[in-house]
Amino acid sequence: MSQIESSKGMFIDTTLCHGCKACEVACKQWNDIPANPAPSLTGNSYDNTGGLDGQNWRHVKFIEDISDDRSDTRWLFLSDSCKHCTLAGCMSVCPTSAIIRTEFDTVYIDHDTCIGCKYCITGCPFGVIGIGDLSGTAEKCSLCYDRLQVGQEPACAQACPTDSIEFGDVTDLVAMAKQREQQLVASGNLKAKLYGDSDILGGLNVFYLLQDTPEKYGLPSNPQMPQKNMLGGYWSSVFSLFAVGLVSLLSFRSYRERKLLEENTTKSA
Amino acid sequence: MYSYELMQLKSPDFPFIIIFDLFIGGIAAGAFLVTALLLAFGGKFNKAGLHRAYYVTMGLLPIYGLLLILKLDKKERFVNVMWQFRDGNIMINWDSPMSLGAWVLNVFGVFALVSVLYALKKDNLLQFSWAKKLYAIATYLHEGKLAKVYLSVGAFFAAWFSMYLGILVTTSSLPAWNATPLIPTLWIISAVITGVSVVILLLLFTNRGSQLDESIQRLDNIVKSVIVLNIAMIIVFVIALGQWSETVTRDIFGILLWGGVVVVGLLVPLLLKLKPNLLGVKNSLIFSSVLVLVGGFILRYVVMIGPMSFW
Ligand code: SF4
Ligand code: SF4
Repeated sequence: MSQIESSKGMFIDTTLCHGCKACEVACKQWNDIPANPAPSLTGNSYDNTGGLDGQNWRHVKFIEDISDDRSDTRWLFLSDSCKHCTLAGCMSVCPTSAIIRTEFDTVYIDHDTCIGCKYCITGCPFGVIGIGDLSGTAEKCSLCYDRLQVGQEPACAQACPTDSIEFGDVTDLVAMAKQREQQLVASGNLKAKLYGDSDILGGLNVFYLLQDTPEKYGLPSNPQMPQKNMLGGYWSSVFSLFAVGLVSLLSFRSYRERKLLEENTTKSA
Repeated sequence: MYSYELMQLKSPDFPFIIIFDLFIGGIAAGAFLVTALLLAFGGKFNKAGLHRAYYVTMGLLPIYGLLLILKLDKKERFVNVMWQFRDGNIMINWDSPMSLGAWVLNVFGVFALVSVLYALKKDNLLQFSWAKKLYAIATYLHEGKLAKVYLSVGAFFAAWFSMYLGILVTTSSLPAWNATPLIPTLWIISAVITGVSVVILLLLFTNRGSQLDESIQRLDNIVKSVIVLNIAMIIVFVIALGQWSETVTRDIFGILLWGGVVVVGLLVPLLLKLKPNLLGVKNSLIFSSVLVLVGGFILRYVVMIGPMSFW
């Protein structure tokens, strides 16, 4: 495990995103990820990517928010990726420690160590990871680890024309985000709220300023570490083991007593 | 306002081979668990032939391991689970049930190996002169002063092995798999009845005298009681799933769970065991044991594939 030099991350201001998908393209280009097969129409609004997976490390969500009486409509956009969680479920369940924390406090998949067991896919509470077609191993956003190592910002952040994706030190980004949140609330956008501050999984290094509830953006309101049930699983197993052991031994021994009873009954008859 | 609660969570799409693997792993563990417990704490009653359960465990464990490796996308790297090449260390991640499970499998494998040597010695099969010492150690561990300790520790690892894949799916973000901590419990109970059923079949088909009859009947007694426990546990499990119960009770999964597992795989065998005259004692034993196996397989299919296919 490397020493953390400084926590790098991203602040995604959804109010500034206009859904141009430049980040998606930049990500694919920099990381040499093949283009999606064309035409790949999902039938879900203008979204032809579908979701995050091994072939799409960044995904711009297009959410058509229409009021019940259909008189009011608006677009919500969210440029989504791995959140580089402080408490990363994917990392904690990996059986080969192929998922590591880098010196930038980001979460990185070592493709040479990954065995493709897919356990991390279920470990991530955001559905981020997928198996990459080319590598055949688990893949997700690396926060452009190779670029960070040479002092560059991630490709998506550089490509974003509206600065909706801000890259930097997490502490600076949080301060910037809080200020922006206050600004928005003061100007009447009462639902504006940070998602991924220290309240979620110890803090997400890639966090969001949302204009509505997390659920509306397809984000879980209360994501949990996959281990939340592990202790319960062990305890219920121990309990059932006692039950099974006891039942087995009692049944095994009771056979003898029944036989004896049968023999005695036959004799006395 | 419309709410776009897009469920992004992904299924790991574990292949069918994993269901089969869970099934045979359960049999291997269940057979060992019950045998070790009975040999250690079964009293002074007739235990003829019980040691043959070790053939079942040793026969299935290598297949289990092989299928587990075949399931990996990078099969050739399976050693990475035991050895961290990057840092040159032994690989163990205490937070990861898969990492712990791999070690448990190996330790359990050692117990299975020692125990099968004991079975070979007892049955006078494959007696290699160069392995005399090994046979002697295996016999000592089963019949000597340390027998209870050895068998208890072996049973402990068998139990851990039988439930770790349950812990593994419970430790995930997939709703239904993580809605209750009861899947490992289901796995242990099912492992016991399927494991013992296979041992019963083995004893039945290798029974040339009557000395095994008592052991078979006793094992059958165990299956009867654990079947009741299994039915109760399935009901508790479905209730505990709450809003996610639909993942295992909808459409074909519901038919398989209630019809295939509970009725065909548990209630019919129980009836046959309680009323052996319906088909004759031997036929009832064979038929009910086979049905228990079918039910055990379907249970794993429903609990694994149901939630996975919900997305
Ligand atoms: S968002 Fe998912 S993949 Fe990314 S660090 Fe967190 S748990 Fe891992
Ligand atoms: S940080 Fe790099 S890898 Fe991650 S989404 Fe942006 S461009 Fe892709």
